[in-house]
Amino acid sequence: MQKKDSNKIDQKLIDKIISVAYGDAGLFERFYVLWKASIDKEIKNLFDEFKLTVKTVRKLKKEEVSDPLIKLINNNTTGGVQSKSFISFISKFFYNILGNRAIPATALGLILVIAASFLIFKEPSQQRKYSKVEIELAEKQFKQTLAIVGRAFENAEKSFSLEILDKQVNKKLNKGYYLVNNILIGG
Amino acid sequence: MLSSVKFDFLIKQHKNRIFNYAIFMMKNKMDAEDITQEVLIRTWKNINNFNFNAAKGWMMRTTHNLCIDYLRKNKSLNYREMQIDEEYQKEIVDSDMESNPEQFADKIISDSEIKEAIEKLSERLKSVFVLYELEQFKYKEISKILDIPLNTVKVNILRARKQLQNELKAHAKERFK
Repeated sequence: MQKKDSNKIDQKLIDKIISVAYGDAGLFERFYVLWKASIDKEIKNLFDEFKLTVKTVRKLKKEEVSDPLIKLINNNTTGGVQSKSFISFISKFFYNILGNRAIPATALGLILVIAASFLIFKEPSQQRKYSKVEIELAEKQFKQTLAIVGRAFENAEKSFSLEILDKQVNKKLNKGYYLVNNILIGG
Repeated sequence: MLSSVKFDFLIKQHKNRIFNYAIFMMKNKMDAEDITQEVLIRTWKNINNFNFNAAKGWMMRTTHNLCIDYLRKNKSLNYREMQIDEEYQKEIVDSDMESNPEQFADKIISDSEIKEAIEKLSERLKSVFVLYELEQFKYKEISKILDIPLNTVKVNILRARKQLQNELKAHAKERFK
């Protein structure tokens, strides 16, 4: 009888039990295994065994590298010299926040520091006050400028209609009509 | 200057991961420390050559390759030990059907027992198991680190889980003898 029960748990079911116990299975598989476990004591025991193993594996305490070894490695690599500059400090700080993006972290750090110091240390700008005479003079100059620009546009319009349209374009168009007429009459 | 900042960051992030993986592969702390030192020195030498975002994978691949090299060099010394392990594994498979699951489930598995059981896995199974279950790497990452197909990773993880269970059952059986 015992042997017959063992045969009920085939390899596929064991695979499913393992993946459910380890948390890899989908919802359907999970329901299937839980349902099977609820009706079969042997499956339940097997499932519990795996769950216990998973629990222990996931709780395993990890070993840590000893400090003397890290010091030795630092001596063999960077020469044990730690940069204490301001930029180094900033980049390390943002490095630890942003993770393994060295250059963006440093750049962002510097930008933020510059922006912050600019905002903090910036002196409030003083608005310059103009005298009445200065304002009138500016208005006068502005009007003169507008007049000059207006005159320039007028001149440009005149020269365009007289010089370019009449002499250059119309003359050539007339010549073209003349030629077409000649060809048509001739034909 | 940036190189040393990068290196400091990498050491801080990955030193324990490398060390733990090496311990499981080498089965002793001294060799694991040697491997860790070697990996970190190589990282420093190549700090400007590899893609920084892929540093984790690069370092683990280097760790794995160094472990395999060390194990191959010391193969003659370990040969006897491996033979014993293989006989032990056969015994476990044979005794699997006889074990009592209730007894197994009732007891608490200690850290040392589970570590021992993991260490007894073959290199092929142990590497994927440690990377996936203990170091939380993804299938794809493991496939790249160990340079094996994705399906092989999945199959090896399943096999490792089964074998680990067998090892623990054997332990439990020995206890109740």
